[in-house]
Amino acid sequence: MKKYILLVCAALAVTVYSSIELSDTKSKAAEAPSVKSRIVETASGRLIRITDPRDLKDLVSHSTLIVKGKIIKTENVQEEIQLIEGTPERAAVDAQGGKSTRIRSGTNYTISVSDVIKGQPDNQEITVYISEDEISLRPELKIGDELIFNLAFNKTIGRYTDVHPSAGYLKVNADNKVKPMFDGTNEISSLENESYDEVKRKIRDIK
Amino acid sequence: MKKKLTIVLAMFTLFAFLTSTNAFAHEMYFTQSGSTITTIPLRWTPKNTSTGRLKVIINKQSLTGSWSTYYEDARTAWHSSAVPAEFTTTTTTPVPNTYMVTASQQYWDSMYPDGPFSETLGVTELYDTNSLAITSIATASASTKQLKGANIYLNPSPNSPSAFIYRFTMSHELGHVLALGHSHLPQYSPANTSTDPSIMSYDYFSLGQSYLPQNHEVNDVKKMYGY
Repeated sequence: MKKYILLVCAALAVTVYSSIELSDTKSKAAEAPSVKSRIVETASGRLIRITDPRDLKDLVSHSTLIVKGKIIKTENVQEEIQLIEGTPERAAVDAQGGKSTRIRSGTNYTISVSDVIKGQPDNQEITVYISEDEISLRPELKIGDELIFNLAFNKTIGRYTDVHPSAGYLKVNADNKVKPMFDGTNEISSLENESYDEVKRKIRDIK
Repeated sequence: MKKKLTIVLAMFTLFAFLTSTNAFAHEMYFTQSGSTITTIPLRWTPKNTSTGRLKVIINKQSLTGSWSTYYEDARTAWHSSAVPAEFTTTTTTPVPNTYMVTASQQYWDSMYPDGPFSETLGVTELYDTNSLAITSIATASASTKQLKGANIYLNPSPNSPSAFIYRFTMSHELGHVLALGHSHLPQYSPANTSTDPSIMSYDYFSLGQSYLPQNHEVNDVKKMYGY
């Protein structure tokens, strides 16, 4: 009799444990939507893979600095990059008899920060660098536009870059309502028409 | 009446033939003014003198990691296709005209400062007969239009791409070596991904079906090079 009770208990334990494991797996799968990625290429032949954030948390966690600010200056820049001797790219260029410099083309956007949501900028004015892509990957950014910028600092170039070409920007309209530039996830697109303060609270709640 | 109908039919057939042929051949560089496309035709010049096929001789000594692992798949995809071109690997003899390299991290970070959700996977530079690197419409216009070589630079630390992305990226870039342009651009005779699949199209890329050169690429090369 004792033996049967033990067997039944063991069977019950296995069943309950398995069901907990399964339900846990299911809820995790439901919380983590699949990541979308796409490939684009600039007119000058640069092939780029863009991965979309799963949700607002994903976007925020990849941003080291999130600020509200106004674009006060834009400057197209062409910077010369020296190919260093002994590197594979320099050897390939030398073999073709080509020049050992390349030009990096892009735009420096000066942002006057009016509010910091995450991180700490060094100055009240920061510079965001956007590489030229020739295929309008990003929303149009003009002097006077006010946005929430989701940024990461790039040590190599010493400037901030956006974390995502469209999800990195949430426009703040004159009526203080937010307009996301990205509609790839429901959670981010549902921020449309919410007040800036409400969006800021949601971002702060995440971090 | 019957004669008129025959003439109309013949003219229609001729028109259809001419326009369908012109729908092929996407040049790599072009300018657009309104709906008018003006192409800058670039042409690969190295050829096998015996067979007349285009000749791409690749040095892949500086390929590392998964780029190196999947290189042979991308090369064979072109070499074994019906495209009138041969893609071979060499070190010094015969002298390579194409270099495929995994770039240094410092160069990549300086040249392509991407954010955490975007990454540059590869770039192709074409070299004209004066050793001018063609990287833009401006340099394409200023070039001799005759290509003697190419360099393909690849990301030293891509963020976990699949084997398909490695193969497709290299196969797609090898298409650029022959001066093939993109075939998905809405303003420039876009290829239909179902009826006219093309590995020079991002739309086809996103389907994840094949990295092998398709009939589209075969027809483009034949038309561009007169085979």
